[in-house]
Amino acid sequence: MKRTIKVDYLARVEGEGALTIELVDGRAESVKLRIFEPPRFFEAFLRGRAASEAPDITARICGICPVAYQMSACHAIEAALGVTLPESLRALRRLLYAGEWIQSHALHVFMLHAPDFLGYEDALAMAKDHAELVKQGLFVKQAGNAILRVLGGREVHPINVKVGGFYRLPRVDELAPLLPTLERARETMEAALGTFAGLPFPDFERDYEFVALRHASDYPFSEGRIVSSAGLDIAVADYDAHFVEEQVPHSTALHARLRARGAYLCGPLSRLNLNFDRLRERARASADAIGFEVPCKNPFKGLLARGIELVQALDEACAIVAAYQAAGPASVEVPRAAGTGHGATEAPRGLLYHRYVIDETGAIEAAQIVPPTSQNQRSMEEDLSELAPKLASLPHAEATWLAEQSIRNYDPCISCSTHFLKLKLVESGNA
Amino acid sequence: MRVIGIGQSFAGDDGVGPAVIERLSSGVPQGVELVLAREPSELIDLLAYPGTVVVVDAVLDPGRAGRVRVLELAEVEPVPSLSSHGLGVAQAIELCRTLYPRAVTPDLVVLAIGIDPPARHGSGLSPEVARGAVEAADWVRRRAFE
Repeated sequence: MKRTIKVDYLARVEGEGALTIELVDGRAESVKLRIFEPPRFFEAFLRGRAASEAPDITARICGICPVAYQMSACHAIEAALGVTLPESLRALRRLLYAGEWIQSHALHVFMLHAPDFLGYEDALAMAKDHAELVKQGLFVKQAGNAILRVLGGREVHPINVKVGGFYRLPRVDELAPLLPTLERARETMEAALGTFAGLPFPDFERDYEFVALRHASDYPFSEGRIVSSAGLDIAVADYDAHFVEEQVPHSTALHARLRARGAYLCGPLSRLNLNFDRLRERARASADAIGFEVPCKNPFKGLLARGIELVQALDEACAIVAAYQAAGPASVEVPRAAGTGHGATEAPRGLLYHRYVIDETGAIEAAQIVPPTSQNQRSMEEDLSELAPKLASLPHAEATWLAEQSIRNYDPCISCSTHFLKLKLVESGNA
Repeated sequence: MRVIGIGQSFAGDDGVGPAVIERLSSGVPQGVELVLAREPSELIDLLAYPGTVVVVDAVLDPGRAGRVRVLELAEVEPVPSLSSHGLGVAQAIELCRTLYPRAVTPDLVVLAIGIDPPARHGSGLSPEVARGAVEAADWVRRRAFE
């Protein structure tokens, strides 16, 4: 029996994509996550622009994770020019990144993904029966907004980041008032995690190669080596020697793969599996309290990984705000020189790699940007292939629900989503 | 009365909501609070208010740029679902009524100012929409004196 599951427009994801699964006798004959959003040519129009402009230009790639783009760009350019930041500025960058994780993860966990598990079409419908959960989500998200507003200059597309640091340091009396809100958000998240742990997670595991940054002491935001569960351990500058992006006919987004082994997984589950020993005490306690064990190979439990990372980000934000003294310059001097630099940071959805070649005038000669969704596309499709027997056994509506839920495990960022879902089922007789 | 401006000042006529707030900031009757909603989810908290709430926003109204319409809640068409880009005005209103049924304002008005689809980025309003901003600000002042 041949059966086609087709979702013309994926909802509750970031961007424009569709899904087609062809099932033959309970196997997946083909799985295509079709991304039809037009290519945006950022790498091309960065050429000739000043390297100092890259953080603000690339931030416009995404309204959900602009800080990730700013951080990867800054780290790559600073690597090219031999610039290092003092600990005080490093802490503020971690605070800004924590703010973005809080915004992005809270939106996804509470508003976009939880409805899948609780059986609601969307968060509005879910709010009628689970008002407290939605209130918790909005409160946690607003704690992230507050960090972006005070330190970044505004909630979306922050304007205070520059190569070498910040344009302006916040005053202590601007940052300190955030602490009570952040502490309450941390407690809210710790409680919500207990609720999330009771959700009905599908019984499904895969043997992924997990890929994430790993830092000498901290849970990774912006620094560290690129490591994997299969033993990869490389400097960021060696990314292109081990990873490659390829075109596929059904998607305008490039597909990345490990040159040696193919598909891999990046994002919260990978970060947690590879950096569990780097969690802060409260985040570790939250994970222990819900019995979360690593390695976790169930992609649906990415929701729990995001929840634990929310506690981690909120706890670190509390610590940085509490210790903040507004000492030292807002930025370090950045020389004008030629060079090539590589930067990889952990966007909410996973590894975000940038590479820039800069000429002696300070202009960008070449740019390369590999976002996490490109890196996870193969794994998304392979998940659905492995889910095929389960999908084939379910009524059509339930199969579609599970397929979409599986895609949303990745919080995919295609960009600018609207809600429209139309399903076509083609039964074409015996194969 | 709380007046909430919504919009993006860097997207031409879409910035008419903030422009009305700016115009009103030169002088409004006592008891009128002017607010900018910088992020859609902020609207939920701002709608939890015991008095009149006026939401000032641009609406696509091709060929009728600058037309000011006073919409009651029932006239604001809800959008089916949440995307990852957050909430629309109608969704925020619906969500606020669901989450805070007792706290949500009993008197909500959406002051909708027509714009043509934005064709460019950049600050500043077209002459038609600038006239609509003046009319909208005058409407708020009259309403505040009632």
